[in-house]
Amino acid sequence: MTNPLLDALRPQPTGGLIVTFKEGVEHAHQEGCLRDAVGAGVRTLSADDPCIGQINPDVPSVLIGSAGIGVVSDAVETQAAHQRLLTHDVVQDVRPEFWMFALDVFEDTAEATWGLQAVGAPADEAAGRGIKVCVLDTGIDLGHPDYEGRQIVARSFVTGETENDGNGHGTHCAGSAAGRSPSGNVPRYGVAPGAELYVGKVLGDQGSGRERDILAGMLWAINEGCEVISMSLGRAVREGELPSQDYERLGQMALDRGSLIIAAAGNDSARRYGYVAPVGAPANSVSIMAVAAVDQGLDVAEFSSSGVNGQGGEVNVAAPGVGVFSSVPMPELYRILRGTSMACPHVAGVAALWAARDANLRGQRLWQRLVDSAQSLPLAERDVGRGLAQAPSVAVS
Amino acid sequence: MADIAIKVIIRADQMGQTEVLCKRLSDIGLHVDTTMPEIGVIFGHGDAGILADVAKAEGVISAEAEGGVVLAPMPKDTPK
Repeated sequence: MTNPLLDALRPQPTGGLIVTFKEGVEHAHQEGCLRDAVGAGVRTLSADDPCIGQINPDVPSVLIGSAGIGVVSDAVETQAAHQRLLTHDVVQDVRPEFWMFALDVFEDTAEATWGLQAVGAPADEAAGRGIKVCVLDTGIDLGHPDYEGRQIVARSFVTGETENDGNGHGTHCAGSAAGRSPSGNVPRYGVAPGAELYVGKVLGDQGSGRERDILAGMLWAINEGCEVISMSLGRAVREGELPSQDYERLGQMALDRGSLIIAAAGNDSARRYGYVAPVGAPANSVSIMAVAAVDQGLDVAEFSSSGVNGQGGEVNVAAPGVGVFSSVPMPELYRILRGTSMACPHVAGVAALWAARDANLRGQRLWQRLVDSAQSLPLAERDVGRGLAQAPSVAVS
Repeated sequence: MADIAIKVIIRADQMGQTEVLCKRLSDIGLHVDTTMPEIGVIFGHGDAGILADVAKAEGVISAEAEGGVVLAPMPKDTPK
């Protein structure tokens, strides 16, 4: 049985042919075969040809002799040429030429950031309403105009510092998860702007924090009944290192109480040099969801840590983490950043949308829904888990 | 030796006995700062030389120098 949708999506031929010659066939022999098939008018291209990008479509055939590839234009009778080419034993393959298109690349628009488009966040400004989303980070700039008048529960766990964000990281992450829709010429950048925002300052203005403050913040968020807890923080771990029992106990406690902790996988890879780092802590805990970062072309981000270690050290899902626009403290207001720190709150926002849609989606069930609904990507599972986190198609507000 | 911050994780079956554990660890030289009985974690400080003894104490799974998190600086070309 044929699938009419697949049929409609099949690649479209240009009418031309691609000819592959067997290895070691001399250039003159290749050219002779093409001439035999299409008549006169074989043009040879080489890498130093100044006109390599300007092939006239009326040229009957083009030969890239050094690669052993010929292209027959649709300007000739290709069916006859196809048959003729197959009579030459130096020809390895003849196939139709297809139109090629750029892969999907997301871009920020006047309406929404590329990240919101990629996760399918709805335009509804009240999306995520009724769900408590906690961001544990460097605090938040409560004086930012985008948070003006908004009910935000904020608490500092950092000795000697208020919940105000003197760093910027926390305000950026909170914005991606649940920033409200600003007016004017700023695109929407918060995945679940209707969610109830809880902010736990567990990292100081210098961007560092003690484990005791982080654990205390996690406990607070769980005890406050936050359905979603976003942690764009962590530390690198060694290859083979097991998860810490304290984070594991907290992650399990959260799941048991209907909360889901989502953490950034880490930015310790240097993929251009072939180095892939393991998912850091606390994202490497079995009961804490690890989020990798992808770029606008939905390729894994160069820095994104990977599922090198098992036993919790796997990546579970991926989200936008390159070129992410969001809020930062006054007077700058907005900044574009990259990192799994930016991917993590996108998943937290998506989790809030799912939780708002179905009251049964809490804790482990919410985790399962997030991974089951992720958009599969043509990348290694150890890099992006089950794929790109996706919002429900129709969010409830 | 230097005074360091220490994180102690206690066994799950000892989580209801945090006070007893704290007393035991104090006797070894740990100055207890914070306890989190819900998850069986005790934070304190003391001379680095007591770390091995704290780790071997009855009811303790592990004792280590308390770690932390340091974010990358905020310029946009540095991954966060």
